[in-house]
Amino acid sequence: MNRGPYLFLGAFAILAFSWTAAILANQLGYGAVTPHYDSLAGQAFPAKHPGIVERGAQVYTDLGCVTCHTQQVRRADIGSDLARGWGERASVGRDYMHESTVQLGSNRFGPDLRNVGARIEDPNVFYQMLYAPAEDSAMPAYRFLFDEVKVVGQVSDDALNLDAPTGYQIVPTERARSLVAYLAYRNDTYAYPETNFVPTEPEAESDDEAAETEEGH
Amino acid sequence: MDSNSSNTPATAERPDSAVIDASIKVPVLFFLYAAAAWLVTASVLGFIAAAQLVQPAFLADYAWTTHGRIVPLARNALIYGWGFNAAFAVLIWMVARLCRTPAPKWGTTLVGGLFWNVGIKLGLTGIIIGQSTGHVLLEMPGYAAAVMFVSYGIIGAGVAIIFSRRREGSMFASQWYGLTALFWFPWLFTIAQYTLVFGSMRGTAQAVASAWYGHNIYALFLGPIALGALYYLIPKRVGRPITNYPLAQIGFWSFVFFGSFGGLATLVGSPVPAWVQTVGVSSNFMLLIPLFAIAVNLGGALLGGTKAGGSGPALKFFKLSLVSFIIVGLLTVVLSLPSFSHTIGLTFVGEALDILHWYAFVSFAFFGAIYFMLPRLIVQPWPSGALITAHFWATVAGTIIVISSLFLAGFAQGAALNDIENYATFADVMGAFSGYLVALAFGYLTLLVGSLAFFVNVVMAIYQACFSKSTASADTVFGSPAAMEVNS
Amino acid sequence: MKLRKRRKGTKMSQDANSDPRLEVSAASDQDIQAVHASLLHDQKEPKEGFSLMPLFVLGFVSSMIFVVAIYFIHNRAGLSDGLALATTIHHPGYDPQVHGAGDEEVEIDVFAVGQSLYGQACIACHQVNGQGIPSAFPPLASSDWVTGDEERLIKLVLHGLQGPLEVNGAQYNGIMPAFGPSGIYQWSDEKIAYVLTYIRQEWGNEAGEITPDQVTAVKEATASQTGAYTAADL
Repeated sequence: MNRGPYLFLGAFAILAFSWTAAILANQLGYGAVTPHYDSLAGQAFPAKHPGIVERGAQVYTDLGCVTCHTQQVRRADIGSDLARGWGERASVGRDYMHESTVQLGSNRFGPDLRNVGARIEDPNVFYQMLYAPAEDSAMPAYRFLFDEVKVVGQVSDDALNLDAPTGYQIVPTERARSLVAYLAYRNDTYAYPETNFVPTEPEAESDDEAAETEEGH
Repeated sequence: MDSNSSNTPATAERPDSAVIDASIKVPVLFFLYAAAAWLVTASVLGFIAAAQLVQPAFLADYAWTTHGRIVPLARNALIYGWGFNAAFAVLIWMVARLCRTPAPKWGTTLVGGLFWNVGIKLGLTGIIIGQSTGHVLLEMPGYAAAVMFVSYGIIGAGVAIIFSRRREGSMFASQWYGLTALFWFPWLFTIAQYTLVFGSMRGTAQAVASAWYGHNIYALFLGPIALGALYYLIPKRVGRPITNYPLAQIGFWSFVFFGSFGGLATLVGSPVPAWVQTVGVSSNFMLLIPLFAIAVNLGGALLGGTKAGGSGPALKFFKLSLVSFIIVGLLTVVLSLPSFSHTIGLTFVGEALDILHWYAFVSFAFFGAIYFMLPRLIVQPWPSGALITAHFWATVAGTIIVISSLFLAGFAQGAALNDIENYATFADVMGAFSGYLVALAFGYLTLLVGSLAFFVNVVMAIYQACFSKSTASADTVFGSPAAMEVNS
Repeated sequence: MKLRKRRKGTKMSQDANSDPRLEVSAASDQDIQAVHASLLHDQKEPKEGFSLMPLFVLGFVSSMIFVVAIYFIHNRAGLSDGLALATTIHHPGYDPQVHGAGDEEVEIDVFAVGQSLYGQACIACHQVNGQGIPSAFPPLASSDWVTGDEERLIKLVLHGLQGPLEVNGAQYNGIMPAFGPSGIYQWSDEKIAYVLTYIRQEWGNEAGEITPDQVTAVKEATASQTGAYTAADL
């Protein structure tokens, strides 16, 4: 341990191994995953995102929504994600393959949003939540995503049915529109071959696992 | 044991510690000042973030103070601002001392340090104005990362030059940790920037890369430097060698090898390949080996020699840091068991473990090291004993409150999320744990008080060193630099 | 082996020990390095007495490796069957030998697929409600052409239909494109079967299912047909 070169050789080997196993292997594995072409539907899944959804993803990212919201539905034996109706099935890797910035999240201070577009169909509900969240909600209001515009003549077609001072109307900005389009697009209901996979021997598996963790402990 | 028994040819020319300290004084003091200032910034931001959890309307009217931006700001200020600046200070001082080599010149290191902090400010501004990249600890936009990368290179080159001119032949454990960490960070940073910011990996492989990088900032940079400081300063402070020193080699290699995969365990249940999760959990179990080795090494030295004089804060911080290191190691293993990980996944427990790593272990080790080294750099004692006491107790109390409220909140949150019968709606879930978040905000406020005390003390010390040399040396206990060292 | 204690008679005053504003150093850097360097060397030399530590460490490390290796191999989740497979299927209990490669046929909701196919191709003429457009496109709802003879229905979708046609008492004269191999749609037998099943069971129609095999059989039987049928042909 007194020789500098050996120390750095070892340090380099460790980092190279860690990079190969954790980063390179995943990149290669993911690289081999392709969209699933459904000949009956005549299209490939997951679908590429429309432009406004991609812009909404940027809004989602820069506002840091990931701080409080996850976008992952865990499989049936972990938590109550499926029971809460946060998805019809667990999320799989293929769901995320077209996302430029994957926002899995690490803390559920708010509900999971992976399938929020399947749960909420009316965009006005999203606007309402962003402009004035429910009383008991821990979410801050995002009023800076909306413009308070003076009504001149007729009320604008874009105006939202939200509480506004008299003589004013609430109009969503382009950012709000993109964000809502993004949220409405959160919908992983398509069933891939791998989502139909159910372990056939759940009993035996869990017993083995328990035995091992006891040993490890 | 006499130092002359060492058979390096340069023995005779070894410079005095005071000469070494004087050669690196300016950049190290700058790093200490920057670190303390960022610590205050991070504490203010941490408090705002915690207050927003309790009162969502707090500062919610502007995009640049929305909760989703304050949290990454606080995290980046804590890690890159406080953590890295303190790490640079400790590393430069430790390497220069242990290589028995004065720095040839300090100007470039100071420039590197200035630009490192400019890079962070650029990056945080980028987050504020909405250019966050969205990956944990890589939120700062690419241009800021480029500035940080270059300035890290300048700072790192300064340390490497000291090492290459070393006049001490034997390499001590602190040097293994410190120098390899210095070498790893640019690689980690390059890989992470290349895969996540400048390029883009596909799908959830991004989540794997992000978790890998985020944890390795701890496992391959801050953690090793903190451990290096403990290996150096505990024997120095208590006058007892490392217990079972050969174990330190096992401890070092297993800590960095298995530690480098530890972050993958946070992905249990996520849509990433199952083998990735298995690798993470396996590594967490294997980390019991370095935990044991390091606990024996450092714990043995501490327990054997606590009576060796003095009541300064350094030793107290070292003890608490080691205890936190052991606690977080054991907790990580226990919480990796499926019965726990399925409950605490995606809750505040993850943040609690992060704070245990970053604050209770790494920062406490740095605090201890700074309390030890700063009087030697300025050749004067700390200006205020009261501020030291205030910093110590506020920091310890604040850390305990923050970590325990995060754990309690996380466990309550996880249990409520899994119990759909009693907590059917999300509002019910919130009700189960929101009470703890008040304590969290209070804890951050306590930390802020401690950070302010530390900052004021550091600033006063630097001021004293620069402007009041004449009066200080006469009537303080450090009559001469040599008195601060035990020279054989 | 102890490091040398702080020398007596240094210039440090007695207060130094209790002053929290500075830290006492109990060992010099040279001592620390020299002592630890010798500790590493001594390990190779025979020592007096017997230490349990190396034995314990050896046992601890090897048992950890053993247990974790078993855990890892058991939960490798398809890693040995290729990275791509292990990436798509991420269940820790997954074993390709037992559970298959995950490519098994997806359970198809024929009605839903048929509905979506109808939406892609048929809806423009025959409309959402299956009523068609009076005097232009014939209705599908309660039409004998749809709910009646299965073979006739399959034939006209495979090859198309043109010329005068009477449906539910009204006269039509249009063109129905071919969906089989001779037309521009080139739909598979499955698609044709599913969309036909859909229109035979929607809008109050209550006819039986049409299977892909039936379509295949009709396709082979009418392979010689070129161009569209007329109503009279059928």
